[in-house]
Amino acid sequence: MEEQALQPDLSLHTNRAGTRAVVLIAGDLDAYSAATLEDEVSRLLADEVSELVFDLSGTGFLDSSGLRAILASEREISRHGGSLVLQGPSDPVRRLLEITGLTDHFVLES
Amino acid sequence: MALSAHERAESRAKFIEYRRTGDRKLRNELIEAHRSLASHLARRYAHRGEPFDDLLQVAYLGMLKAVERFDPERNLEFSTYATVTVEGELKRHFRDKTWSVRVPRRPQELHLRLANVINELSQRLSRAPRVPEVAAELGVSEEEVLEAMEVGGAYRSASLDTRPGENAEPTAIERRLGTEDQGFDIAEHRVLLETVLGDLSERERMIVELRFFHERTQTEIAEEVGISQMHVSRLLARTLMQLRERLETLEA
Amino acid sequence: MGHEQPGNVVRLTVPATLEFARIIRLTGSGVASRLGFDVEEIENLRVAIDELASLAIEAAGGPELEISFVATESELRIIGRAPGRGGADVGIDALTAQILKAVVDDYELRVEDGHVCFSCITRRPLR
Repeated sequence: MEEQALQPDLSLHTNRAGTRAVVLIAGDLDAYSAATLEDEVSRLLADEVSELVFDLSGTGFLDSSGLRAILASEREISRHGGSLVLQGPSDPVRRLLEITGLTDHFVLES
Repeated sequence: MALSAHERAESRAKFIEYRRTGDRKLRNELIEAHRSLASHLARRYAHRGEPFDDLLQVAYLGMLKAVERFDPERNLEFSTYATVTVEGELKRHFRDKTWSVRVPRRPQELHLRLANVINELSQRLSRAPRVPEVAAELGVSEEEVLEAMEVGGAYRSASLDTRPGENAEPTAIERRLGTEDQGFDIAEHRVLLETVLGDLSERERMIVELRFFHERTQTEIAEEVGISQMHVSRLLARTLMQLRERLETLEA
Repeated sequence: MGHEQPGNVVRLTVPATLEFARIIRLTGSGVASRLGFDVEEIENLRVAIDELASLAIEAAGGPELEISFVATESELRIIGRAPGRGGADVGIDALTAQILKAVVDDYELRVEDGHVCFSCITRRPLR
């Protein structure tokens, strides 16, 4: 089977600059891929990141599992005295944040 | 397009002759005789987005194969055999095309245009559009729209820049949950909010009041106060967290 | 379930692993689109079916999840079923419940006869 019509599920790409890390979350952040994000965040926190940014402009799908992973990341980094910003949330992400009343909970950057 | 009994008999004779001699001229005559069958079959596949000339070529190729392989001794009409062969070639043509470059590319570009088109249509129709409407507007198939939605999501939600109640029609979500604030219910905790507000700076208090009592959007607040939207977001997030902590200690 | 007209049920059986949630979502969108739901409701259904199917998959003890999309004149009902794990129970936490309440008209998840089952309903659009 050659090229598929559907994109691969999740790809994470992290840009580091000192203690700041921007994680591009492209694809589906769902029950299947949520753990991948949590692993990456643990890795970054262990590597002294205190300013974490999730670029959600390319996140095509988000469900409760993905949202829980984001919440868990926020708790983790707060415990380390750091901060999390959600950057450019895509429409599916915004929808879920609105449904769950979390638009004012996270720090969002458009 | 069907051959007459006389033509079929003639054709059969030619097939027998062709199998015996392999005469190219005979072969071409046989193909010519069944040319209209080939184009008829090609026309059946004409509305799948492939140029018709390509389909004709594929159908003629199929007819060539059928003529070369047909065994007139068998108790089978050539037109039946040819139909199967030619349709096989046409189907294979589409299958090969589908797995190659064209289809996978489209959803990737499409999903970027999708949200804008849906937004436009929503305003024009005063309701969310249906998939056939979106497909027609973009000039693509419904399947491509569904795949693009899978890649990028399509719902143009009320963003940080709009107010509740700005849409003409209530959205499905608003219908299900009503238009009150979901999640943290500010009205219920108004008194408590005022207590916490006392602890905030002048500016922070103004931001919270603008957001929850006057329903300003974050962008409007940013403009009014003279800071960035992100700063507004930060302040609100922090305030709500303080509120929740207060609540927890009081309700404990 | 009453009498179903032939042709109004779409069935899908997938391996009960989370990587197939995507296929379930796409099939659901296709069926909903055929039934005339608008893009917003299609997005809602994608979320609903993903949430319920993910929970069912996580509680499943057998290899396959069966999904049926049942359309009647008034509604689209999505039903899922998988063999359960012995002793496993299923529940929907507050966050997921909040999401489901917003995206479908009714939903249910339970263990019955050693199977984990879910269903959700969306009223069909009025023409």
